[in-house]
Amino acid sequence: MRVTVAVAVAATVCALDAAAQAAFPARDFSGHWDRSSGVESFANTPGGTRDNEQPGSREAPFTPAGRAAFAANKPGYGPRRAMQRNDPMGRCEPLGLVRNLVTEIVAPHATFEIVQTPTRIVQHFEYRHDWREIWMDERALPEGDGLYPKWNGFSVGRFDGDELVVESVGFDARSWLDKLGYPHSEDMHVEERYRRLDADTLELVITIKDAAMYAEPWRSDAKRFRRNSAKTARWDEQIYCVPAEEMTYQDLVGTGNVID
Amino acid sequence: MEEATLHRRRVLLAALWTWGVWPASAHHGGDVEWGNAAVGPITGTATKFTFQFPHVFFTMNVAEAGGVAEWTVTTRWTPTILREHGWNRDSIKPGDTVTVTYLPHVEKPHIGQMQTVEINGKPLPLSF
Repeated sequence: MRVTVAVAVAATVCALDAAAQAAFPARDFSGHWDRSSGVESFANTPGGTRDNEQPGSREAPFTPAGRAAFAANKPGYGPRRAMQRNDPMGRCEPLGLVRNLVTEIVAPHATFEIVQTPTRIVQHFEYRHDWREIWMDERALPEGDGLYPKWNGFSVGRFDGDELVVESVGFDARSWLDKLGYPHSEDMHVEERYRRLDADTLELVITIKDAAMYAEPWRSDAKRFRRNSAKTARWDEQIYCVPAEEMTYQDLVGTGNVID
Repeated sequence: MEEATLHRRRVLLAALWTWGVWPASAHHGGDVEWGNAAVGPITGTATKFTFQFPHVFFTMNVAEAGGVAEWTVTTRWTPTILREHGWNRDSIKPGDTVTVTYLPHVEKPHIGQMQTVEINGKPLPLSF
C-alpha cells in the first residue's frame, strides 16, 4: 500500500513538473520584459544598486588601459559620482548595446521587448527608443572590411538547448557599459545567454571579452526580467532623447559643468 | 574652468556638507544637484507647465520680500511615470495656485525639485 502511494505521489509530481515545463514554450522569448533584479550596472560592482550594496560586489578585472579609461569616464552615479561629468547619456548619444541590455533606468523604463521570428529577432529598448537585430539564419559574424563600429554592433544568435545564445562584435567605443562609466573598446565581444526560468521569468547573463580593457572575460550578474503582458496591448511610449528637451532641462538645473 | 570658480565650488560644497546637504545622483550629463533635505512650503502662481522628458517641471511667480521671483520647480520623474499616477499635461495650468515643498538646488536659489505639490489646494501624488 505504502509503495503504491509513493509511486502515485512521485508520478503526480512528475506530471505536474512536466505540465509546468510544457506551460510555456522555452524557446519563445517574445514579449515585454521588465527588469526585476536589483543590480543596475553591468555587473555587481560597487555602487551598482540603487540603495544598498548587493553581497559579493567586486570591481572589474581591469587592464591598466581599462583602469585609465574608467578613470577618464566621469559618471553621475555610484562611488565615483562627480560634479563634472561626461556621461554620453547627457548628450543624447546612443547608449550602446550593453547599456541598453542593462536597463539601468527606474521602472517602468527598465524594460525591453523581443519580437521573434525564425530567422531574425528584433529587440526594442523603449528608453531612448532604440533597437537591435539578432540574425538567426546561421550567418557568420562579419570580419575584415565588413566589420566596423556600430552602436549596437552586429549580432547572430543560436540555441544551445533551450538557451538563446547571442554573439556580437563591432562596437562604437564611445558608449559606456553602464551608468558607472565602465569602458569598452571597439574590439569587445559580447555573449548574451537568455533562458526562461518559467512562464513569466527571463534570465540574462552577459559576458564580455575585451582584452584591451579587461584582463579576463567579465561576466554580468544574472539579470532577471518579469514578463509584462499588459504592456503588449499598450501603445508604445516612443521615449527619444530629444536634444532640445535634454538641453532645456540641463540649462535650467545645470551649472555648466558638462565636460566632453 | 577658472581656478576662482573651482574655489567657489569647493567652498560651497564644504558648506553644504556642513549643513547636511549633499548632491543627489543624476544621469543627465552633469550638474543636476539637489540638497537632500526638503524645505518649504512655498506658494506661487503657475506660469508654465512643461510635461516632457527627461523630467517634468513648471515655473511659477512667488512673492518674496524684494518683489516677485520666478521659480522653476522640477520633478524627478518622467511624463510616463507621472501619467501612470494620474498626472497629465494639464495638471498644472497658468494661473493655478501651486504649493510645493522641495529639495533646493545647490547653486541656484530659485530652483527646486518638488517633494510634495498641491494645485489649488489639491495634492497630486509624487511618492511612488
